[in-house]
Amino acid sequence: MDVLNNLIFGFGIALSSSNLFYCFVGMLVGTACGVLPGIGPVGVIAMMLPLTFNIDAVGAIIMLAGVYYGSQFGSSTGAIMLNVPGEPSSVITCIDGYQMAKQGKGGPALAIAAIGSFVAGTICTLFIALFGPPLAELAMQFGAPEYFSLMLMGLVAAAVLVQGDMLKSISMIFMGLLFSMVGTDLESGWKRFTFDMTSLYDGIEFIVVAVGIFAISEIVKSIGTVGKGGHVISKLAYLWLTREDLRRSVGPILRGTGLGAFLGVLPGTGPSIAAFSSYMLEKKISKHPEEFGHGAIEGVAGPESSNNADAQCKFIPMLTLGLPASATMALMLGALMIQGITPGPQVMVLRPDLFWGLIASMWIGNLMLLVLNLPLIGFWVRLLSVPYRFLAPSIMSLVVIGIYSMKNEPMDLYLAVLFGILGVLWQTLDCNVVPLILGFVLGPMIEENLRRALYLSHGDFTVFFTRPISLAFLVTTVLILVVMNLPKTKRHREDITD
Amino acid sequence: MIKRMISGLLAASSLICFPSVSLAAFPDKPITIVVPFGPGAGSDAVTRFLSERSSKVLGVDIYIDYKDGASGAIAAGDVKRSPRDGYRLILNSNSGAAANVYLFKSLNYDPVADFTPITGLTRNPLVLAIKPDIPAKNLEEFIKYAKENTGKLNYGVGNSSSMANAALFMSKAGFEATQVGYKALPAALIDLLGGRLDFLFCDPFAVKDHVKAGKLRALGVTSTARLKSMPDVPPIADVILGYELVGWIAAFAPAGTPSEIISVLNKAFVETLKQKESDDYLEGLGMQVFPTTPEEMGIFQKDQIKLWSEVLEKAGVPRN
Repeated sequence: MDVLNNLIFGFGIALSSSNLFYCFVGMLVGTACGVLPGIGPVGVIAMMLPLTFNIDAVGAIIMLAGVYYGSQFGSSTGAIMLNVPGEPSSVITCIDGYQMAKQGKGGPALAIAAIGSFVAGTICTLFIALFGPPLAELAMQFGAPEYFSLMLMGLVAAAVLVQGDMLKSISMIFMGLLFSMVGTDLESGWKRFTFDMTSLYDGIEFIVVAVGIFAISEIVKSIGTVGKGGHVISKLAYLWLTREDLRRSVGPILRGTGLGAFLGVLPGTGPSIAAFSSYMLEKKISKHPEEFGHGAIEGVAGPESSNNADAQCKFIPMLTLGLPASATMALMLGALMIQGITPGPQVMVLRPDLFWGLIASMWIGNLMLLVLNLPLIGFWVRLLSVPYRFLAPSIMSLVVIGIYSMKNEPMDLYLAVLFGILGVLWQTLDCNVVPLILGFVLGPMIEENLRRALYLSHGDFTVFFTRPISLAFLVTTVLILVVMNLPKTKRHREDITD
Repeated sequence: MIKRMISGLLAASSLICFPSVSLAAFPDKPITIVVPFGPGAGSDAVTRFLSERSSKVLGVDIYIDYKDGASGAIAAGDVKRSPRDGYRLILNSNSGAAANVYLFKSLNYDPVADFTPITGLTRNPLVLAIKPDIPAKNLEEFIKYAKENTGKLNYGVGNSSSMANAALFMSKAGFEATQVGYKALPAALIDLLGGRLDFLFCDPFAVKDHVKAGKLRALGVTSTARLKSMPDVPPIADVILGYELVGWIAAFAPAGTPSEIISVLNKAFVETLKQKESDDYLEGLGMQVFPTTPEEMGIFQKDQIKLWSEVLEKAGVPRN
C-alpha cells in the first residue's frame, strides 16, 4: 500500500507542532475573513504571503491552504445567518440557508454545512491521495468543446428545472447573460457595454451581483416593514440537527461530494459551479421540490459539501502539473515560487513532504473547522436575536466595507446597490433569481469555450458532436429537454407552480 | 522669544528653499511599490523576492500595492499622481510601459513623459514549445512543417508577450496559423499538453518539467542568450537571424523625482540584482537579471515602444 505509507508520511509532517499551528492560524484567519464579502481568499492570502517568507515551504503552503478552505467555510456562515455571501461558492447557500435561519433553524443549517464540508473534505483527501496524478492527466482531455457542452447542459437544465413560469426563467437567464457580457472581449479586445468607463473594463464582479441581489435587497425590502410584521425572524426552533434532518442530508452530502470532486478536477470550471450543480440536482431528484427556496436542508447540505469538495480537488492540477486552476491556486503557486520551488510535475517527486504533508493537513484542517465551529453555532444563532433595525445597518456596513476593499472601486458599490434594487423588483415580479445568477456565471464560460472550440476546429461546428465526451453532454441536454416536456412531467411542473 | 522666532523662521525657510535637505536621510520611511498585476502572478514572485532583498539594502520596509486591472492603467494613473519623493514607485513591464502605447489609442498616462526610469529589473524570455506528435526535432524542421501545413496549425496566446512573439515568429518564418486567445498562459498550456494546440510561446519554468517528461518539445528561446535552466534550448536567433523579443520588468518613479533619490534607489536595486542569490533565484524561474542605469533604461524603453508597436501592428492586433 504505497498510498497508505505516503499518507502516514504526510500525517507525520502535518502533525508536527509548527505545521499544526500554521494550519490553525490559516484556518482561523480564513474563517474570519470569509464572512466579509469581497475579501476573498485571494486578498487574504496576498496579505499573509509576507508572513510565509520566514517559514519553510511546507508550513507556508499549509497555512495558505488553511486560509483557502477556512474562508470557504466562513462565507457559508455569513450566507446562512445574514444572507451575505462572502465568496462566490456560497452564493447558492443563501437561498435555502437564510430561509432556514429566518425560520429559526439557523443552528441545523450551520451544523449541516460544517458536517457536509467535513465529510466532503475527508472523502476528497482520500480521493486526491489515491487518484490525484492520473486524474490530472485525464482532465487534460477536457478541451473547449467539452467545456462548452457541459456548460450548455447546465444552462438548459437551469432553465427547465426552475419551477414557475418558463418564460420568466428564460428571460432571467438572458438577463444574467447580458450582465455577464459587460467588459473587454477576450478575443478582439473590444469593450462591451462599458460606456467608456475604465471601472467597467474588467466586467462586473460576481460577488457584487450576488451581494446586491441577496443581502442588499433583503435590507431594502425590510424598509418600512420591520416591526410591523413584515420582516419576521422566528424564535429559535431548535439548535441541533434532528434525526430527520440528518436522514434528509446524507444523500445530498454524498452526491454533492461526488459532483464537487468531478468539477474540481477540471481546471476550467469556476468555484460556484459545483455548488450550483449540486443545488439543481437535489432540487430535481427531491420528492418535495416545492420546499426549495423556502428552507430545504438539502439546499444547504448538497451545495456546501460540493463547494468544499471542489475547493480541495482544485489542488490536483496545481500539485501534480504545476497548473493553477483558479486565481487562488495561482497565488499558492506564487507562494511556492517565492520559496524558490518551481511548480510542475516534478514537485511530487522532489518534494514528497510538501505534497503529502499538504494533503494530510487538509484533512486535519477540516477536522479543526468542524471541532471549532460546532460550539460556535450557539453564538452565531444568538446574533439573529439582535433586533433587525440594528442588524440591518450593521450588515449594510459589512457589505459596503467588504465590496469596497475588494478593488477600492466606488463603481462596485453603485452596482451592488443597483442589483439590490433590481433584486427587490424581480422578487415583486415573481422572477426567480437562480437562473439569472447561473446565466451570469456560465455566460462568459460558454462564450469563451464556444469561440475557442471553433477557433481550434477552424470553424467546424461538428467538433461538438465528434468528440465523445462533448457528444455525451449534448445528448444529455436533449434528454433533459425531452423529459421535461413530456406531458406527465409537464403536468407535475404545473402542479408545483400552483 | 526672538531667538526662537528666528530659529523657527530659519527652519521654515530651509523647508521652503532647500527641500533636498531631507535627501540625506532618504529613505527614512517605508517605500510602496505599486504593481499593475494581481497577487500571485509570475511577476509577483519576482517582485516580492527583489523587494524583500532591496529593503535590506535600503534599510526600510518595502510594501507592495496591487493595482491590477485595465491593462495597467490603474496602477500607472495612481503613481503618475503620487508625490515625487521616491516613496511611491511603480514596477512596470513591456506591456504597461511599452506595448500599451500601441494597444490603447487613448491612454490615461504617458509611459515616457509621466515617469522617470530607475533601473531594469528582469528580462523574461519565453520558450517556443510544440506538442510532441509534431514530427519536428528542431526549429528548422518545425518551420518546414509549419510551412507545409500553413493555415492548419493552432497556437495559443495568453498575454501580449506570447501574442507578439507568435506574430513576429510567423512573419519571419513565413507561415500562417490560427490564434486562440486565453486569459492567462496556464490555460493555454493545458490545451497544448492536451494536444489541442500545436505551439505556444510560454514561460520557461512552466514548460521545463513537461519537456523533461517528453510531453512537450522546446525548440527555441526568444532571447539571444541561452537559459541556464534549459541549456539545451537554442535561441530562435540561431535560425532566424536577429530574432529577439523579450518581456521585461523595470522600476519607475513619477516624473520629476529628484535625481539624487533616483540614484539612491538605482544603486540599491542594482546591488540587489547583482547578488548571486538573485541570479540563481531568477534563473531558476527562467528569467534573467537586468540591471541598468536610469539613462540606459530610458533609451531601452523608447526602443521597446517602437519595437512592440511594430510587431503588434504587423500582427494585426487592433488598437482600442
